[in-house]
Amino acid sequence: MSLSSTVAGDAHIITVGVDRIDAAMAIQFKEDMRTQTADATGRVILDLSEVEFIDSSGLGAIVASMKQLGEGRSLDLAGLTPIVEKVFRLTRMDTIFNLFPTLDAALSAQTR
Amino acid sequence: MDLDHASDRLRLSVIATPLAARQAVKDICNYIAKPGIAPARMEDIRIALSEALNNIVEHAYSPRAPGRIRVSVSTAPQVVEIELSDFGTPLPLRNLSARTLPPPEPNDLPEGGFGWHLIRTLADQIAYERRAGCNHLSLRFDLPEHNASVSQ
Repeated sequence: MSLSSTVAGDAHIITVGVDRIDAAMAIQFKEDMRTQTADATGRVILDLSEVEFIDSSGLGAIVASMKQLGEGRSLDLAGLTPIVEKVFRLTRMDTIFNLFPTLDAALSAQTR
Repeated sequence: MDLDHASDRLRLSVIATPLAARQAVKDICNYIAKPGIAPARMEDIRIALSEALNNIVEHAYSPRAPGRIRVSVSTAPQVVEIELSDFGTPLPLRNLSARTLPPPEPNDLPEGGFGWHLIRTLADQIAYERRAGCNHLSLRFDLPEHNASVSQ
């Protein structure tokens, strides 16, 4: 599992460096997200622009990742590719997460 | 992989593990893909097929004793049919009944239970039969007219 973190202002950006989040890697993803977000206190943005496929297990792992951030904290998602966007929309999870077409859009939304 | 040219059908026998299911989805989608199918419809098939195979891997068989999944795929100009058979536990019939997904409750978010909703939403017809200790699930996807020369 390949996750990398960068900090931009008060935003903690986690970039997913694989092309899928599926049942074969969902548990590992959730664990790695816990490690990556352990020290994050501000906003967390998950950059999904390299992810071209997600299944319901991967979706569940992203939901779990937001929950483990702690009460009231949100996980913003950036760079959703068509299938990823479709899975979020069909499961109505697009109403739970803030979705941004690109990382830049997510970062500029922060300054508003 | 076994290409049955006589009946124009792809047949696979897949060990029920997440990695083998992932490879099977890839092989099946490669078999189905052709210029006449809209990319969005291929996405639907890929999502629903992944969910159906993952359900067998996770729920029909025990992860400690993964059995076999038999796959049969047939394509026609306007329809794709995928049949999945396994010898695992029966499919709970409530999974097949159509119902709308309630809006997610922000303070009590589900981490699962999306798979069958996706299959029901994306497949045009779902048939299931338990026969002689075997689950037979059939998914049909209609293919709308698509002009491949028009860019998306």
